Amino acid sequence: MLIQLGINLILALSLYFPLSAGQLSLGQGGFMAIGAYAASWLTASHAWPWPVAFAVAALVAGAVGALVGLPALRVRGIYLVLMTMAFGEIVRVFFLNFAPTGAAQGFRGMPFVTSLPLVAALGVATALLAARTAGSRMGRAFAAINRDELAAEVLGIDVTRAKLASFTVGAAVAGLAGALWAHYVQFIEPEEFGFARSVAPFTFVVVGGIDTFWGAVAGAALLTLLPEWLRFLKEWRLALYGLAMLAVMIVRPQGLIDHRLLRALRRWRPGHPREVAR
Amino acid sequence: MKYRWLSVIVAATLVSGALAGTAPAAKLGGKSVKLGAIYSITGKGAEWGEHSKIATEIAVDEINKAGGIGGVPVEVLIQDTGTEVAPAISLARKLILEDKVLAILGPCFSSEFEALAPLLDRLKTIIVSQCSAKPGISALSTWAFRNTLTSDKQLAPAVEIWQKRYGIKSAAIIYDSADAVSAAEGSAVLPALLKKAGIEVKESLTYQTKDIDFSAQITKVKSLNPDGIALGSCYQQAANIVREARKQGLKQPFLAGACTGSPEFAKLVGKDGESSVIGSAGWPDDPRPKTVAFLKKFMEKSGGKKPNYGGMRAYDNVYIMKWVIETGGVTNDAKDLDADRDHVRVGWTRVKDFDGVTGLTTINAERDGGGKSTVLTVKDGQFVKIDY
Amino acid sequence: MLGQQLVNGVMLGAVYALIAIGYTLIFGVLGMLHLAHGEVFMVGAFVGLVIATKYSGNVMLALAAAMLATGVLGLLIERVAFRPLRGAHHLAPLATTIGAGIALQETARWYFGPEQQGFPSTIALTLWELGPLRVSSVQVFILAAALLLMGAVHVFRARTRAGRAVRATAEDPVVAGLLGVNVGAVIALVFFVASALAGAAGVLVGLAYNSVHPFIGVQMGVKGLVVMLLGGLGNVPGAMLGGLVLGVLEVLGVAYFASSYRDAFAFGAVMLMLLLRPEGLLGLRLQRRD
Repeated sequence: MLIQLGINLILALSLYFPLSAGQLSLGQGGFMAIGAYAASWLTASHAWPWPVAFAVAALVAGAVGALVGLPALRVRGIYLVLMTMAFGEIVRVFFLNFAPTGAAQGFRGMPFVTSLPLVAALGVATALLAARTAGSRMGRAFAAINRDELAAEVLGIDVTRAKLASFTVGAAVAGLAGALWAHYVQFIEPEEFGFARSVAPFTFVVVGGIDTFWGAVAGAALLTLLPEWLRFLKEWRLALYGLAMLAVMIVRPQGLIDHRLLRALRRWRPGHPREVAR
Repeated sequence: MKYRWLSVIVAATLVSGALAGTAPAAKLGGKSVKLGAIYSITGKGAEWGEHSKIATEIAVDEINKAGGIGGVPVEVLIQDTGTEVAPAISLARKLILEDKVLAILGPCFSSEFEALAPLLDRLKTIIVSQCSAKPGISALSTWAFRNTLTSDKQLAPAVEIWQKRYGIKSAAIIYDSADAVSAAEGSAVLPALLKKAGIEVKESLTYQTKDIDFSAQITKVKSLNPDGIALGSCYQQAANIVREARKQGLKQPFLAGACTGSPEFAKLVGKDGESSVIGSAGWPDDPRPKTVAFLKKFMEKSGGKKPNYGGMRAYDNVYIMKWVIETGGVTNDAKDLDADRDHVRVGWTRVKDFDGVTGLTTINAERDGGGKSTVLTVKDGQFVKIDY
Repeated sequence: MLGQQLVNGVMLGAVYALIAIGYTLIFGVLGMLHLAHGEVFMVGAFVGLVIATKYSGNVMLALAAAMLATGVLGLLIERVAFRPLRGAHHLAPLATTIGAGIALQETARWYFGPEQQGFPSTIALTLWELGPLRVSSVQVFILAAALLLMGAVHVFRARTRAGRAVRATAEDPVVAGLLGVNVGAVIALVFFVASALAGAAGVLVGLAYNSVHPFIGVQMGVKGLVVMLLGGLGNVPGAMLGGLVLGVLEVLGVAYFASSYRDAFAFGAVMLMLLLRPEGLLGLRLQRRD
């Protein structure tokens, strides 16, 4: 279950990248599917070593992300949401009919690769990537675009490049999550990469807090562990899960972790001056 | 005689061997015999899982009242897979690695079974499915067992009866391409059986499990005008297809197999389904005393519903587990877990003519169930058996 | 066969349209997606089922009861999942409605069980032949009911004061408020109407396809979003037209290609729409609301 948490974490972070640049993608499930199938096809049907297969899968997903990112530049807001949703569903239908990877029957034969240390390592690596991006020039460009795209453009930021980059990286990370998932369950089918799979990272990020990547981490952790903690409720488990999600959002619409909380937490770090001039 | 002592030794060995088989079971160690069960209690296979759960609980109750397995109470940890593959895998892992069960009952659906089986060589614990009907998948691991009839066995006599009853010379096939068993039936099993019976397959149409609108497929079948319609489908969608067909004025008789064989199907289709022939792996109304007693208990617990063959076979499987554990050299000591699990595996390969509620059960060399399929039709909202 | 398939498509399309109108009404006044709308549809189907079974097949009563119940549910959802988040990030309601949707699905599953249930055979099934086409009395009823409801919505928006208030709020809630429109009341009214339509769609689907179970809202909800996009966000006549278009496309796709491509038509159409004509079939090229 911790392995699933790790994969969800990576998936949540994959949404964080485009979201930090103001692009809400409800199609991460599609990129995850591409990564899962690509990696599986390479390891199962062609006996490639898994590190290479995983890398290739992430690259392929990223490339598709760039392709989708191009038309995505032209649309914004709700339209982008719907477009990414449509993309995710198209990917699902594609694999539903794609015979070399089993079509509707699903695909199996990949080796078990995803151990807890591997997931933990990749999870930490992804989080580090997110952290470094946030502090970098590119990350500041994302934040600017998120705030006000027109102003960012006027200030000389290459909006096109930034948006495409955020989309591509997000797709590649989602593809990696897919490859990890496939080599954990050792059986994948198109139906599991549908809308629900794209909605999941979205709920992680929104509930966790969209301000920073820590929100993705917190949201993924809470919403993966919550159904397990609630297992004693048996039938009521998922109903309460839904209500919990609802409640958290009402009580704290900005999500669990926001800038204010992070600042407050930082003040508690040893050595940090207590009084911070605002 | 020179060989009299030899014959005495042989006789003694035979006698003691026979006695060992019928001797009261050695007392087992441990506080309880722990078994796991992964059933599809929710999701698209809810009814199969629900019936399996009820039947398992009845069996456990009966066994414990009669002294348990080897004098020790049996405990079955029942988990819900939601009829999905990923939960089936993770729950199986948990039961094997954390709960340390001796064996696992289920999963029901072929998709779950197919995905779980290859992992068993590493996990070294058996799974015994009570419903999975897709041909060939028990071969995926020596630890994978199925006490059911595969689709081809369920359908073979049904096809013959269907053809004779209604004079079928041409047929259309409609099947669920998203469900493992139904897709295997629709794309491989049915075409082969129909061809063997000399029936021309005019067209094969598909649908997806989640679909609710079958008007397009039915209209297409109407334009082809076959003598009969064969389905590879689970009972909910099969019922909807039958009703849609009757709504559009089609009078053709239907043929269906494994996943349609739930008594709910008969209830849902009512009069519309009276010219249907279903191949199945269990007959709940069997007048044999064992089955009658089971049916009565089941209907009490299920609120009046009759069990589908998954429920019937789940009941049998618990009793077969009891026999395997008691006669297979299992000690049930925590330190012998790996050896015990292997004993259970070997035991299941030896199951022959076990007398259960589904008749005499034998596990064949492919680790599938053997036996005669039940052919059913619908009358007054109930399944009735066709003798052959 | 083509004619018959078109009939099938129109039937399906009418249902999609009813759901999409709800989405588009809500989007029009709030600029947000109501991702639990599919579950409202599902609740309507169940309410209709319960009433129809209890009152031996009285379909009109079932429809009325379902519409009332889902209308009230819509008001509740607005109060709980939208109003508290009025000032928050614009993505927050997406999450609350997802949570609400899950809660509704699971509550329905607990109460009714996960299996599909069918409506009792209520309307006497007679088949009419119009040339090569065969139409059943059930289909006629469904189509008539859907058209009637769509017409009522149209009249409401175009001719009544309340309807005009809705359109004004959709245009610009601030200005509408300044002009004396009770924006809060208008939003509540919109939710009631939208949800009632979804509830009606639920009953009609139960009648037409006989599959009522707790998870029918998921796929229907997604299709409703697609139709809304096809017709133009916020555009009610567009939703009606979009629904018909999608229904026909899907049925023809299944009939002439394969069922596994069914959804591809819907989403392919969406992608094309977004790239070529994002304002939808009937939308006007106005400032897009982000």
